[in-house]
Amino acid sequence: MAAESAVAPKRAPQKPGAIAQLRHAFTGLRREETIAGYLFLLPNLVGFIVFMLFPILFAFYIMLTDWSLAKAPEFVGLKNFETMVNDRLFWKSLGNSFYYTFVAVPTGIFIAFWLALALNRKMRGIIFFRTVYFLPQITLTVAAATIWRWIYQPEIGMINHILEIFGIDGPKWIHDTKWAMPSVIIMSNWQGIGFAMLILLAGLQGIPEEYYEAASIDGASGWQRMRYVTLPMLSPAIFFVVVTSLIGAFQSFDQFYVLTEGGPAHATTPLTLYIFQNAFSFFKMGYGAALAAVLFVIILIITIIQWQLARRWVFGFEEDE
Amino acid sequence: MIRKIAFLMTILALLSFGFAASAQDMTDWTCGTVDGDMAGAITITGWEGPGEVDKFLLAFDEFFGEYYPNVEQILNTGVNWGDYWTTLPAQLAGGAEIDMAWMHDTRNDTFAANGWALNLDSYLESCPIPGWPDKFVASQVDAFNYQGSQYAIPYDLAPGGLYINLDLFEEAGLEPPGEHTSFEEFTELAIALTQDTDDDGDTDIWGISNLVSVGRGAGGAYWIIKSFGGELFNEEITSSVMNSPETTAALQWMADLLWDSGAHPTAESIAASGFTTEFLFANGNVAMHYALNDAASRMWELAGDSFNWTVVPTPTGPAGRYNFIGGSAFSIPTSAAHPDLSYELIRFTLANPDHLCRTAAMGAALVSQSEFHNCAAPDDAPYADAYHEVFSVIGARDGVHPPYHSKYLEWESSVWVANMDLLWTGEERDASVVVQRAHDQTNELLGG
Amino acid sequence: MATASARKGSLFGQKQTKILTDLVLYVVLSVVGIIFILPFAWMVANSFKDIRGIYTYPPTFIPEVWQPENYVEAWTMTYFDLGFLNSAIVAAAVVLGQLFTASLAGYAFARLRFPGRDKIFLLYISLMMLPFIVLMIPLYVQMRAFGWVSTLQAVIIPFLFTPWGTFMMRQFMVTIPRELEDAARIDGCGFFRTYWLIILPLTKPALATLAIFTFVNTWNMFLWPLIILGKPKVKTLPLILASLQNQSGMRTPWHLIMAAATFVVIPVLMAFVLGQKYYVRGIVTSGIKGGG
Repeated sequence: MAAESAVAPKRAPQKPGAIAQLRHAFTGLRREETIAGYLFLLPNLVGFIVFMLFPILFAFYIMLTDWSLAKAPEFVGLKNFETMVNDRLFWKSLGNSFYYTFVAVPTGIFIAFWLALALNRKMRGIIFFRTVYFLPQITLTVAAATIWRWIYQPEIGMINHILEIFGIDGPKWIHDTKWAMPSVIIMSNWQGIGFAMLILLAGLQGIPEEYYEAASIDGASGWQRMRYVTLPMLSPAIFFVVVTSLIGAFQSFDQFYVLTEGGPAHATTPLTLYIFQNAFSFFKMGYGAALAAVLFVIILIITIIQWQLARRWVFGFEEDE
Repeated sequence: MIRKIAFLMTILALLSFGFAASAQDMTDWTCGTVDGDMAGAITITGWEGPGEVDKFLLAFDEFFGEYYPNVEQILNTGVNWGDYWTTLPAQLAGGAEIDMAWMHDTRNDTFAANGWALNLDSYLESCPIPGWPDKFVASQVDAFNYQGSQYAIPYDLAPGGLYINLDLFEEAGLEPPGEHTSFEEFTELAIALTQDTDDDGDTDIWGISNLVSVGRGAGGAYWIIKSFGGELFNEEITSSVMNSPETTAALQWMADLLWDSGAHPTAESIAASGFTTEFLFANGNVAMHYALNDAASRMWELAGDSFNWTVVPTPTGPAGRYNFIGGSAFSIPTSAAHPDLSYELIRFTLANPDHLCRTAAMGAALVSQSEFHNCAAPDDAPYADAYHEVFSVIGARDGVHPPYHSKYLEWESSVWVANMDLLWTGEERDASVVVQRAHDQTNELLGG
Repeated sequence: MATASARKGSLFGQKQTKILTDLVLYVVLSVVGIIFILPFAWMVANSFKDIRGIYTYPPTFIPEVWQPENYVEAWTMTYFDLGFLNSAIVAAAVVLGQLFTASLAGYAFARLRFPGRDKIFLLYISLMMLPFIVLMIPLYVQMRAFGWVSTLQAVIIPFLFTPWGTFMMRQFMVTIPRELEDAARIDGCGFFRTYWLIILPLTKPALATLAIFTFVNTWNMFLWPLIILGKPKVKTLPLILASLQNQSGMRTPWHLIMAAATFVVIPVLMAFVLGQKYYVRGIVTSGIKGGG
């Protein structure tokens, strides 16, 4: 229900009953639009029902079972959720997921935003630079992890080599339980920034030049143009990047898997990796699915909160329907 | 190298053909339960990829060519090790019919306990494998035995040993360690060989490497614990006994190599390359390198004869001599469509003397049939004699593996690695602290 | 800072300021760019080394022994060319399918009014929130029921539908000025024609972005193909690459893997550079003038 109020128009003139609303939708002027709307959604809905509905229902069922994958699932009710309460690795990996998400996402988006602004300029060779910043996305992950391990190597590695020039004794990076997570965050931002940058860049390209011209004629300063043209017009793209980055960060797996394998001492084991281990190494698929449900609920709550907040700042949400 | 192997193969193939011509008339390698005209497909999956798996593929082809010409082999080999252990359970859980699957000792009990792997006892009884179990290496037969039943047949063994840079020993005027070297003597050697050649305060040559590694399972420490007289679990594997003074002393000895004497590179030093830790030895930066037998061929490729090197046995402890052995096996999933055929194939692959020497020679590891151990190292390799002595004779004799059980993987990840990593990263340097915590958590896991 | 003043320069049209900011920007972008390009360059450098060069300690960047024949060897590896073809088929099909389904749904969610729209939207994007790990096995069961195990359609058809892409298309379509559409509607265009003739051309940067991302993701898709594609002949490139690095292996041919990985990147790189064409020809500059 929160979802409904989150996306409902702000100034709904009157609130007719749902049935009346439906009847209204299928009659008169709106009829054609309603039918068109559902038709446009049809390919996605069919795809969803055919390919996702069964797996999702199944996942929701097995979280209530003990399932070793080999034998038939055994119904245990909420036992898996009770187990979680005293599972120290669950709490640790949950904490790691939060740590990772709430550091990696804001820093990543901040950098990507400025990078996108810089790369939005019309200048010679800009495509080359865009490609450079996108390269990490397409570099073989194993190759990337290998070089990052070298970069992080405390004795001969690149970072500590540079720090040494400034007289700083660098940390042990991925070999230190406190520094391992920041190390993963740096690498995954390096890899992921191209994605956010590209979306924001596409958003910037979509802002009509006329808006800037009008603002200039009104005597707006650079900052004012940023505040009153760029940010509002870019807000749907920013919102998209924020929402999907948060979802993506909570679900990230690869960078942990290849760089640190969750170590040392589980310092970089996020919930996804723990789910993965439970499902495929410990053969506790039921427990894994229950953990996944927790992750799902967390992401859902965070997304709904963002939706609520979106009305205040995102273009296209306050639109009157 | 490839050409050498090919040449060797050709010779061996010719030889085995010679023998085969006379031998095959006498032995029928089927068990009589499958129709020779059977048509259909057999699905085989494993992690070994091109180069390694060829030795088995040749045997598979021989088997089907001879007995079941109408059967098609669907081979899904070369699935990267880490991925294999996701793929196999997922496919089996999804209902895939897999007839034969590569199995590893660390996973056997989990697969057996959860009903994934077929109990092979009745097969072993009705159609015995020649030489089973006497000619197979005992610790590996045991590693794939769960609660008294056999769930997989081992095809290799991977014993640990010490790779020795003879030049560094000669420079230091020291003798390489041997089978009877004690852990104290070993420590002294390691310290004496550790050097800072350019006096910049950083070690350039380490006495010993790869004895300790962040994230490594219990197999890497278990033989040391046993040598010190310690243990991990009680006999029934229902509770922990790892807080004993002996187990603690063994782990403290390992930690001291890192943090006390500095004779062992710390985790960050060996992680300089993302590939393997062998490069340090191959580059002449290490006097003694702990590794399994399969490292020999890599060392030969990496280091070649750029310096003199050999292999020697690991030390002997106050409680005797124990040698780590790991290894792999062939198993039949319970969902197999043609389990009888799979069993015949395994039997042929692991016991037919006509090809076993070839099979052993083509792999980095040994075939677990002890009779063929001397085929394992290529004759032209300078390390062949030492390899044979250290791994096939001494290693196989003293072989020991951690007490595997149905929750072994979970225990290794959530208890062992979680605590021992603190010791290997230097966050905690007192072994008794981590051992006590691991002890309590083990009891929690095994009791729960 | 550099970027804020950059905007100013370009708008005020002062040539000197622009050249200066451009210069500063070039320097900054180049310095930061080195970090971004380094691992890629390292991968390419390693693809020219021999196996010993790869294991040199400490690692060196420039190959001591140049071995360009790694590329020939990589290309002639078993199933490599077939894997290339399989990957190309999968990527092309998924990209086209997603562009179509996501832009259709995105348009409906952004522009059309119908009951339950926003609820369906939130429900649809919440599909992104369930980790794929727990959906994998039931999806495998389903693929078996369809008889699609070890076929390419198993990695194509379930992935033609995308909440992520739909969300993205919606976000871009809400910024399109409504006047354009209204004009088309008044001219008697139906909803589909409006979508096809007005909206799609105006969302080229977004479509290009979606195409690039779908291409990259599909090209690199690993876990699902690994599990569902059990036969060598249907395997995609990442699976073939991964099979070369068998951990228990005797000798992982890293020089060949790096050469193969460089091969693998080339189509993605080309897709990216081609996609850039649609970035420059942005939306409304052509749109408003054409439509208005």
